[in-house]
Amino acid sequence: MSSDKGADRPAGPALQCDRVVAGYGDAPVVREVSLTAAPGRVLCVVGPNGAGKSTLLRALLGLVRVRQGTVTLGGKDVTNKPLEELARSGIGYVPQGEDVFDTLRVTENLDMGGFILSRAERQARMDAVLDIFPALRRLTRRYAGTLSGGERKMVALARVLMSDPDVLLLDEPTAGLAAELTRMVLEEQVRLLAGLGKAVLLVEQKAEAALSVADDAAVLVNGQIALTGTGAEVLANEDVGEIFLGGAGRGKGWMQSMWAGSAGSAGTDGTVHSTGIA
Amino acid sequence: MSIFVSAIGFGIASGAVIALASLGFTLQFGLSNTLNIGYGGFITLAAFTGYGLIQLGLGPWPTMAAVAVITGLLSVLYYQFFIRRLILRSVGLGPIAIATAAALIFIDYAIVAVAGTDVKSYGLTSGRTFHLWDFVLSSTQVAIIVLALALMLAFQLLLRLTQLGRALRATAVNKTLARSCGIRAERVTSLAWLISGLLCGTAGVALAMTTQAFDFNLGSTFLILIIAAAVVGGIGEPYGAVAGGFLIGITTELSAAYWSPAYSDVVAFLLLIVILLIRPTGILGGQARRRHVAT
Repeated sequence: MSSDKGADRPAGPALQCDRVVAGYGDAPVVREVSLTAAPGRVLCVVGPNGAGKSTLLRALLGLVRVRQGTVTLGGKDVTNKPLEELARSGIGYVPQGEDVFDTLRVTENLDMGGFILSRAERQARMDAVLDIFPALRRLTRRYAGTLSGGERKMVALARVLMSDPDVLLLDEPTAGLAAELTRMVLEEQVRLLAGLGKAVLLVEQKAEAALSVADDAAVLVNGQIALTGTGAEVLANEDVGEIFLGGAGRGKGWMQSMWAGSAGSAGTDGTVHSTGIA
Repeated sequence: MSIFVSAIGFGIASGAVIALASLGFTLQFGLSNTLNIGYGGFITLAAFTGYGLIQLGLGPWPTMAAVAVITGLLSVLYYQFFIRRLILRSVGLGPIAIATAAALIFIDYAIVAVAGTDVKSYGLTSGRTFHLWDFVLSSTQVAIIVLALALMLAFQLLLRLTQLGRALRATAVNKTLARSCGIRAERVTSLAWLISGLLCGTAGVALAMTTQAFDFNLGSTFLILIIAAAVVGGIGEPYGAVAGGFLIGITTELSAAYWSPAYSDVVAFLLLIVILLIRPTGILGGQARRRHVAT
């Protein structure tokens, strides 16, 4: 892998999914998806609307049933485990949108993040988390529902760090944020999480901004992995540019065909390479 | 003036019972998003269970404690084997409310099958009376007001000062997010139904103690005031339920004093409509939004 944005931290366990098939009703939304979120690295999954990104994330979190394939954390099978048990196993989750407890104060939100810790551990951890996000110190008495978008996101990330998880799953953390806040969240906060040695799996709609901070990346189209590589490699791929970034005049490659639902040989001529992603 | 003050006194007494019951009702709604019409059946069941225990020679206060525990446990079973299963099958809010209305009818007629349609009374003597300004309240009413206030205070302290209470609030706000924090939301929800059952049982016995006589319609009739109090206060809001309970209690007693006791329920619902027209979220509904404006 060419990118080395992660800090030198002891490696925690990786989250791996192997040939996962999941969905609602009869038709699978996610088909044969294999990915690895490695410690200290940001793995970004991008894809057009309806590609199955959120369903994939929900399947990893036990919120959508995995019908085939396995999800492992540090080699231990956690397929279809309840969300609360995954949290206790070291997986943190920041959902899209409602990512804080609005009617709880900031300190209470952090308390909930550290729910599985003892009181002493929780207090120590809160101090450590407030050191990571010093801007939150002046907001601790505020109700989370009264905060701005950027402040809420900081609370959400601080909350999820309270239990010191090994793996973080972030579902469109920049949804609804303006360009400047998007940049701040991705370049500073998401990178910070990887810098703490966490394996970060980031699902994002804002492909260009997300890929630019990702160590590893995967493009999901029609529920299947269409392309993998480093963030920079995927960002440079012209098919990605065509679909996500509105690149004009470039070739209509295999990925667009796949997006249209007609590709049968995806990945053979378009894959850049796939280090770090199984 | 004397009638007014006296009505306020009775309003506080009945408001305390309504607030207690409404707190349990709104807790169920907050944690399970369920408008549990069957709650009225539990009120009746509590009153009749209390009647049975008093007939067996148990004192009124031990009876109240025993009934609270019994109702709490039944409430958990009702949630686990009925409400939760409907929720897991993705039955909507409206159909669940209708199913709980069916449960109310079932409970009421199960009581009729066992205890008949006769009017019952605990037959408690009113004991000492307390005079404060123009308030005249019996010792039972005073004890119930004190007990209700103590239980409501204890509940608020639980919510605000304990990790369990914060977990209850967090689960009420966003169950999935709570689960992602490692909170076993199902256990927390069951606990909420236990607490709501305790409150319901206490309120049911308190209502029977302060009522001259009651029959199997006790809970169904009282449910109107409970729902009005919960909605007026802002459904799902514990403080709102308490405020709504006292507001409904005092308003209905004033209307009974100056107009007619027969129109108490009408007045309660008129108040509900007026408050919803002025403030659609209820008195204390939408807390976070208001705090946002305030800060």
